Amino acid sequence: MSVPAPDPTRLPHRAALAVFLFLIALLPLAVPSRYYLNVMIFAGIHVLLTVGLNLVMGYAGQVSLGHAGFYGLGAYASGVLTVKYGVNPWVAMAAALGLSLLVGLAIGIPSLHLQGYYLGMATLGFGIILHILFVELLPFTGGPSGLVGIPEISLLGVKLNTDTRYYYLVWVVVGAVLLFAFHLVDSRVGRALRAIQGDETAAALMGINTWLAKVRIFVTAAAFASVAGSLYAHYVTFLSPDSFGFGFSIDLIVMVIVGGTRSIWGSVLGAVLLTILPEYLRGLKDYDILVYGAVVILVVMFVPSGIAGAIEQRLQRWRLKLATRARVAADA
Amino acid sequence: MKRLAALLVLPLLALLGVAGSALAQETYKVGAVLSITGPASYFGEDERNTLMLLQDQINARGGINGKKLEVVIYDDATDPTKSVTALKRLHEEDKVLAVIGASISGNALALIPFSEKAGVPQLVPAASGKISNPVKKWVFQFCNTDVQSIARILGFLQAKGVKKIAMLNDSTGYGVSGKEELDRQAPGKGFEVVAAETFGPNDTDMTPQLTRIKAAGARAVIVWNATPASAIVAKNFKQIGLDALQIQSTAFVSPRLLSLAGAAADGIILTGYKLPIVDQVPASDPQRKIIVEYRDAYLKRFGKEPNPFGALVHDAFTALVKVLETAGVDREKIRQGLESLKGFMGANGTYTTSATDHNGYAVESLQMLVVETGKFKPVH
Amino acid sequence: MTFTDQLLQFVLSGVMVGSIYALIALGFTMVFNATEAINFAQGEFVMLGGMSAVAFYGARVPLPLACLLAVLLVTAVGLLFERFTLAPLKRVSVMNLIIITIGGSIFLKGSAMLTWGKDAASLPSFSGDTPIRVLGATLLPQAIWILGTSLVVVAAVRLFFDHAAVGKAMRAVAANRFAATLMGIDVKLMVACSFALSAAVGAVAGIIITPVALTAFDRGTILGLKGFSAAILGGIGSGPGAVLGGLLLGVLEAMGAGFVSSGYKDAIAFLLLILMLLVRPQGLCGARGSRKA
Repeated sequence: MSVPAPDPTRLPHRAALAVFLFLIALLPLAVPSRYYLNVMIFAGIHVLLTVGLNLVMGYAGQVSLGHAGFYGLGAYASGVLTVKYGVNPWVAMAAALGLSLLVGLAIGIPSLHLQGYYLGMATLGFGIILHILFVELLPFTGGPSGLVGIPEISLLGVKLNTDTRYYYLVWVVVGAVLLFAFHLVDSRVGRALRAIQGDETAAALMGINTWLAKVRIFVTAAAFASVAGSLYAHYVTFLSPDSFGFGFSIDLIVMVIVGGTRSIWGSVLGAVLLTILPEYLRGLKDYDILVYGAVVILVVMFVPSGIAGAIEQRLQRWRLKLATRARVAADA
Repeated sequence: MKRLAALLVLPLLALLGVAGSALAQETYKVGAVLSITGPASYFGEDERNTLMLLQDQINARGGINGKKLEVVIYDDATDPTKSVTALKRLHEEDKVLAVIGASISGNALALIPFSEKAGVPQLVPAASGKISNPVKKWVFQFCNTDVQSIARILGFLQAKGVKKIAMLNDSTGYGVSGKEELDRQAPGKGFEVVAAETFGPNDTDMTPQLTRIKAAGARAVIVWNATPASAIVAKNFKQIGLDALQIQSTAFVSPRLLSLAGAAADGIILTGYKLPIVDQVPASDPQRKIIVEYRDAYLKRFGKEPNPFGALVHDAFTALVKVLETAGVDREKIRQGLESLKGFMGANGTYTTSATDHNGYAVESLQMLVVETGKFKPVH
Repeated sequence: MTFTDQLLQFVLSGVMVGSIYALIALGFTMVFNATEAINFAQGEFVMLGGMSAVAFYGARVPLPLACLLAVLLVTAVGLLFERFTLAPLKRVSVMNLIIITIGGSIFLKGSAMLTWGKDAASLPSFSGDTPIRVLGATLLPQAIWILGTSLVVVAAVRLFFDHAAVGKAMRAVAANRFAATLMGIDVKLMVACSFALSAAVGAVAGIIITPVALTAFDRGTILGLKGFSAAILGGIGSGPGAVLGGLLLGVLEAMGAGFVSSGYKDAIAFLLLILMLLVRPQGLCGARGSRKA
């Protein structure tokens, strides 16, 4: 412990990411049918959402109960622009991203002055208001019965209209976002965030503009969610407000916590596992909801730092043991 | 760190084992995506029960063409995303011949692009006009659309000489597409819509909306929603003493809703099917036998009468079975069969399709009913 | 109907619905004061109250007794819920507490669905359905029951916290957990008490509203959400704030529906709520500079 070890979070994360993405790239060759790719497409979209939400919740320590609203904003902006105005999907996606950044700023700037549950309430309220707008702005959004006929997306003249092609699109985006997120938490902003999470008053005294750091992270998460929404829109090619309600915001929080807050890998794990879990539980008929609730309770009770937290602790202990053994060998 | 990565991929590989490999077609496999849990479980429950009942009845009779019939039912938890995954699983893993679903229009519309792409027939027991208009090659609607229901109601009101009407619908897809349809049809038929109000499916009190309607002087109020909240509307209607005709949608045709509304239901007029008034249908009506058989078997097995959504799935399923008898396991032939039904008789009406019409229920399938002392009666 | 008649009708509707929100908010407040966590299963206690009262009444138990049994049953559920999820935990973050209560709410909702089915259910009104005219507006007798019961419950809770020894101990825990322990107060017991009490209050809310608003297995989520909003509006942790927040939210919704647009009524209520928070970040009755979270 006396020897200052190089920051253990840095290089291994990049290496792990490379291995992970390599395996992800091989997956379509290994699965027996496109059903698995469908599940993994949604899992990837959920990863984009949970990584952003984890930055807000785990790293900046802010409660956000309306994340599904930004997801919906991205999806509907993409959907409405392509269906009603014939905009090219990529342009629409960029426009959706711009809109979400603006809305993220408009919501974040005033409400990130709020603390704890009050911020939770504000974000919850914004999420619900956005959902109501999706329902009520009928001429644009198609209302509660949904927006039909969203075009598929093309890349260099290739239509991304098969599950395999879309799978790669989604996971390339996921890879880029993960890289960005790892970079962010290691950067100055990331250190400022960790300071805020430790003690916001102390961080402020150290000269960190805590509010600005929180706004930045909030807007970044909104941007990730917007991209996730656009990807959802062009895959399902149909949008219904039901996908972007309060319930889904809660689902996302559960994914983040079960995976492990303050760990990017935790969000990946949480999103993938909890997207797959209901598929496992299908055989249980109506009892699946009970099992799902019980799993959530048990994980949080017995693995309070989340799955990634537990793995990290295990790894750390193992590394420590190796180091001690090495030192003992050197002493002898 | 490799272990970490491996940990991520392991559950996926395990998932492979769960679904199991696709079996050769030794049985006729049909799929269903229904909202068995979540906010719309009110529909899905009866729909699933109906499918289980019919599957067992058909297999007890020796199946189809001597082969067993198997219905694979997945719950979408009233979530469009989950409904898409469920459909994919039916298509790719279970390799079903056709899919019934989804329970609500929103989810059904989410499935349509995937059914079209995969070339697997989809039979939809939900009401939105967008489902069969424009006609989709692989999609068939087994539900009178709001287009037909609203037309029937407006015809009734014209005959009564009512001009000033109000709309009160919930904010779900069912409620809002009814409202859209009214906006389309009412002006051309000489109606004046004096108030249009909405409520949330989980709201607890609708007196503010009804108060506005009362103040606007409507002579008839069309209430359009498919949740038990319509019973609250009925009670609030009586509470504020609104002196107008109360028209409810087909979704109100359920003995269970009737008992929830209690005395407040008396006088409600609605469009509905013959199911709730089957005991008053003349014995000469050939539909009567089908309805009574379905209702009694359902009552015997599940201890309650089916609601109209169950009957929609009944018709979709029996039509599909009839087509399977001649088409076999060829999906294109099944599609053609579904497209050329001529006067197929179901519990909710006769069903006739063509290449340009994928919703076969005639507008005549809809009956005008009235609630009198807690019972549905035909309007004469 | 004249404008004032309409206004009166909206206010009556708002106060009736709002007093239900107030009771639910009170439940949130009690658990928050003991644990600093928001119990997202609070709405499920409300649902369980209504559903179990319907079940007892359906088993031919007389209505008053059925209501009493339902309150007792839900109180027991509240205790068990605390005993098996929160009590065994030693050090746990507030966020994790919240997730546990979310998991619990999923579990309770599922249990209710499997036990009682998916259909909506109702109870007969306690004093008939003949509307009472109040000037130009109308009121159901059940609304009087709702207002009266809410008043009694709020007063009883107030008296309990001000005068009963257990109530005082619970307040001590809320004020300073560590100091309370030093004074020999059994903090764990007090946390259990807060869950029992909040479950009981939630059950009462669920029962009295069932005759007018029905009940169903999935009714808890939205009511819980509204109660949470009311508690925040009033200032989380404040009893009078919870009541005020509930009534205000109910009236805002009714006014929004009546005067602006029924489709946007929830959006209007939430927008005003957020604006209020931006002006007064600690809620209406919350302590100034409160950093509790």
